[in-house]
Amino acid sequence: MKTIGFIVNPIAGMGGAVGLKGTDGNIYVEALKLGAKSVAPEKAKQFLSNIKSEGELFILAAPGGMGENIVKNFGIEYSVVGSLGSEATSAEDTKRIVKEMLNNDVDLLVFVGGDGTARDIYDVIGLKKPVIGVPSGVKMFSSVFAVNARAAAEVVDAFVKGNVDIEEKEVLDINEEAFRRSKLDVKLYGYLKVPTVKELVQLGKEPTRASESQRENQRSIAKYVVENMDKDTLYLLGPGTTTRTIADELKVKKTLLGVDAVHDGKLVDEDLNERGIMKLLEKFVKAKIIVSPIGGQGFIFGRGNQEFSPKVIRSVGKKNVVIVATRGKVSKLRCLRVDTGDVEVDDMLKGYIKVITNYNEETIMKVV
Amino acid sequence: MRQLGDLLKKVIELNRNEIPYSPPKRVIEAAKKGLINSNRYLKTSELNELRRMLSIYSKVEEKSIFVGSGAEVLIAQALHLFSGKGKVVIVDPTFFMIMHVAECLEKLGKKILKIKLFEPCFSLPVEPLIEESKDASLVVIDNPNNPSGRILLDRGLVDEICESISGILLIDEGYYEFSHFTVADMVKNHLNLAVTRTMSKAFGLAGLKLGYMIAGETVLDVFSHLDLPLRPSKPSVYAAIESLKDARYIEKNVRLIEEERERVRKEANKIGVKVYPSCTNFLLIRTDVPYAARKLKEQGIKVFDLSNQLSHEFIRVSIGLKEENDAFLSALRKIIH
Repeated sequence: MKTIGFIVNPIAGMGGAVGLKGTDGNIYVEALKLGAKSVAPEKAKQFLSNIKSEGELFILAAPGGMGENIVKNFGIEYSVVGSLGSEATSAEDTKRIVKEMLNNDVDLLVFVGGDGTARDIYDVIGLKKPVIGVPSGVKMFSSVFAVNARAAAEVVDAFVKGNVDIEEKEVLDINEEAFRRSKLDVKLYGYLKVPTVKELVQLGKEPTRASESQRENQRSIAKYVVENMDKDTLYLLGPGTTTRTIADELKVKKTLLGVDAVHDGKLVDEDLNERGIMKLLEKFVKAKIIVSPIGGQGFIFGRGNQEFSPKVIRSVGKKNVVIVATRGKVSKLRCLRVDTGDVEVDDMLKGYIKVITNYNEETIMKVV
Repeated sequence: MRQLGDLLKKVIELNRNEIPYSPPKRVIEAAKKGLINSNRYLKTSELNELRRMLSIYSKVEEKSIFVGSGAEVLIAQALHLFSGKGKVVIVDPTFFMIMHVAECLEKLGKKILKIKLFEPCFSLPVEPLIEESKDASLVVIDNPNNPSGRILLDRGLVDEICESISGILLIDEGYYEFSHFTVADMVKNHLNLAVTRTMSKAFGLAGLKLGYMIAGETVLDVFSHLDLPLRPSKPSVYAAIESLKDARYIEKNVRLIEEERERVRKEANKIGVKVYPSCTNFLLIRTDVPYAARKLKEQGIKVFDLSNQLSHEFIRVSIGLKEENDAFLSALRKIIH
């Protein structure tokens, strides 16, 4: 029997249809005035109605409209944790209730919401327990969401049967204010542990790579990168779990969400901003950038690593950009993308580029 | 035995790109004859007879043909023999066996370069292929490509690679009978070109594992040392010779499969999935349903799961008998709606 925490952000997604692009902060009041309808409860229902392992799980539901009111109609065993604040639900409610779920030993947390909800949950849960998102927001740039409510139910069923792999996936922070002005300002906010259904094990003559975990793949990439590092060269390590593994291999500390600089195997500086990077580039003649695509869209620059500004990229040069990505990530990407905010730099980066995908292995991909 | 038969009937296997039709009786009789004499090794004269027949069928010289126990064995051997000091270039996605052996070579210290086919049509990035081939020890490309089902290389491109590459170009034409396109005759002009073919597909002899390679001298010089260990079995060679005596049944197999393939393509399109054009005996399908292969398996239909190579909404389905294809289509409808 697995205990599943279940929390719905009832206002997530309300800003979409009325053109508000999100409900962060108090925007939902405005959304209500514009006649916005609640979409999250409907997604929550779809999720629950697709659960097949109801006999093997126990739900810890958030109170009222944040879970309880929906769960009670589905004949799944449940109890309620936490309490609601006096006003309409807020980020504080989410955080407080998730904390209580953690205290009650949930095995997996399911949330219905968008990027904002994912961030609130990350603040409390970090990498302590696995989390899966049922998409219901306006913005869902983070990689912690299932494709849809039905797919989320499948992940939960597989989780109950122990048939999942757990991977660290990105939570992205999108500046909603800027988003309303049609500008995409995306920062990497953190990582959540997300279960995915294990690959089908093929029978007979069909070998698969299912046995090779993402971690092993990352370690092989890191080993290859480190063995091939040039002397007297400054390496700027971008954010991400694959670049973190490179730092692990070098036995230096890595800022998971930021840029660190390494020279001859030693940490030069950490969590650098554009200015800090430019300063280092003046000092070191040779420099390389190591980045990994962020999010499901395949962005190598312009999403979550804005520290690598057009100025920085231009100064380092395309031939000194090293891209690393796991085989799993590469297989799911159609192409790589750039959005540095500078058309000339974007054009310079476009075309075919090599990605290190394992020890002794590179894959040529197109940057569009 | 009946119980086993019932058990086997429950699942429809459309995951291995086999032909659903049994070989002609005369071919089965020939295999039996080989079996009766199987206390004896295959004679060189028997193998030469098969090479002679294959040379007529393929319209190439006999001396350009090397026969082995399955095209897969020949490809795997080529990967080991020619990976050399330079890198091995393959496309991605590709025939899973090419991928699998190439990835194993990495552990032996060989460098692998994959060129990702460019969606939405899985087209080949020509410019980096030519550039990267120059210092490659070996370039391996399946043409038509599996799983996309499309032709990647034309004759001009083969010429260009063969002339600039320092190593070997190996092209797998496993689905030649369906694509009706070959570069096998080009081995005359390019000593470093090799083409592998199989009798497992259109000939309907998958269980006998018989493949052959049409290649230039540089390749055959190395392979000639492996003539004995790679020889196919006596029943396989007997059956293969017999099948080539009258190859009209192959044309019929191909015609039936092509008709069914186009029917399944149209029907699947109506269901609302994306079906890619194919010149093989399989179809690549994008479903938008997560874990599509797993769901079809629950419905009793086994298709090839492309979770590893592409993503989990992609499947590759082999064209089977009409009733098998109908069962697949109705299972597909079920998992989509």
